[in-house]
Amino acid sequence: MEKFGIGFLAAGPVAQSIHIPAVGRYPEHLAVRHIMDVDAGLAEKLGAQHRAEWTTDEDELINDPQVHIVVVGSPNQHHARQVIKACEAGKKLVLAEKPLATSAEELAQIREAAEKSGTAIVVGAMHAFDTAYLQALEYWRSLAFEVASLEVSCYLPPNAEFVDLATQLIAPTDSVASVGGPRLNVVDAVTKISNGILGLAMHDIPLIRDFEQSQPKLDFAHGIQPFGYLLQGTVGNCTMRILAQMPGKWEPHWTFRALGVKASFEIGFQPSYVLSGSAKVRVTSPEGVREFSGQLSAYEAEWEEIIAIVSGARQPHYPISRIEDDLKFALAMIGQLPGLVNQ
Amino acid sequence: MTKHLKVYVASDDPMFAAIQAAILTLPARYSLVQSAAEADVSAQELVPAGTPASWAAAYFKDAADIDEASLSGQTIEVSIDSPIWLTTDARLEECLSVLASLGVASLEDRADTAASNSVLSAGYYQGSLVTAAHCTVAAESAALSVSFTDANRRITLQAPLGHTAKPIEIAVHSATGIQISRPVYQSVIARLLSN
Repeated sequence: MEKFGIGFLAAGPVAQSIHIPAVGRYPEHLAVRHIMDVDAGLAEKLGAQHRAEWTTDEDELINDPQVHIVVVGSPNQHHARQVIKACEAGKKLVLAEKPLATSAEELAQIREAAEKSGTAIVVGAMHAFDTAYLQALEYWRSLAFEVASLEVSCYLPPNAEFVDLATQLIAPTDSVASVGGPRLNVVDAVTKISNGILGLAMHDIPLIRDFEQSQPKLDFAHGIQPFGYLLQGTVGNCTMRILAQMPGKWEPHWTFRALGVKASFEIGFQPSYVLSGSAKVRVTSPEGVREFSGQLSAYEAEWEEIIAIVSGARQPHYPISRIEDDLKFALAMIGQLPGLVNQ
Repeated sequence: MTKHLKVYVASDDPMFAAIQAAILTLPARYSLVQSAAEADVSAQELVPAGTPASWAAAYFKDAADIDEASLSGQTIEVSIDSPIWLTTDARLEECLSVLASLGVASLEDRADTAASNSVLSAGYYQGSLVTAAHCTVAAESAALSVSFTDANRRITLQAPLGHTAKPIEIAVHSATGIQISRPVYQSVIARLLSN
């Protein structure tokens, strides 16, 4: 089978602790070929560690013919530009960390570029690839029960705690400037919550939309210090509550619940950065209680999906139209924040 | 010596199964009878005002030493998975009743959201962000979940509200680890009746 080269745009913890270890599970299919970071020392060290080329220039990596898959792990404001460039360079696939884009305009440009080049787009919302989740969802759909309430509850310790457990991190070697483009203003509450939605809630939105496809209507929004949010509203005929808070000195807790009068669907997720098995899902219905779990982490499942796509074995589980709708859901919530949040 | 009581539980009581199961675990104190005429007392007379969720919340407040200071600067998350279908107003009332049992007397800037089988209510109390959810679920899934969270500590309650004797679990998460206690290996109602 053909081996596919991967280029990483940004060499931080997401590349080092999540994707490179996951890629390492599939040496017959995948190889790290090129590392780009604005921190030259970091790019060089990580490149040397994996016998890969390194650069500080995103165009150099994107135009490297040895790179078939581009992983965009840079700050949010660079995602759209880099994804579009990768599409224009004819890459087979782009794995973009969430959010894929930060506006509807960027989203339309990405879709146009991806459809023109035939580049597959995968968004790194890992829960959506979790094998236990997908098996449980299939079972749930076979039961055909209605959902009344969708709830996300997420309390996470500092990411660094898990990064340290996941890998021996190569730290930045230099204090560096942004690679370009506007810096996000994180001063006001609306921006803070918006960044929370695009940065963390994007993991949950594909799941919410698996249960209810209507547009969200928010009644209450609050930003939690130093990072987090409470979003309350409805989606279709369901109430929806999305709560996240971090960091703190507690055990990680990340759950998603779809509750109905006759049946319920409850998931406990692994925290980010952890490649140690799937989520655990419990479906309770008149048929009894069924539990779903597996050995494959959501990140590995994500990469198995990528291998299947680039080798032509299957079409993306989440086509670009679905990715677009998920992001529009997030942007619809963000659009309602100014009327709800006290500045 | 405590008097032995004959108890009648009306079969249309929404907590019929839960009360019946609790009484059966306390044979030295209670026995079930088949009609009101045979009974010393009805089930409703044995339990205080409120619902299993508010009783569990009151127990949690006491067992976890939730005092006035514990209510400040927190994220307080409550989920009531109720086995009983209620109107929107009744759901909100039960949310507020559970919050009151926890010590949250009222919510400032309260916002409510309702759908056909669930409600949400959010607001502020003494600098804490408070959110309560109420949804009707199947009886076997009925539970009350509560958490009090700040940067240093997280206190959680998981209390089944059904008729089985699943344990109530109270956990305290902090920098030193997690302390889990299962102080009541009884249903909430069995605990009330045993006292």
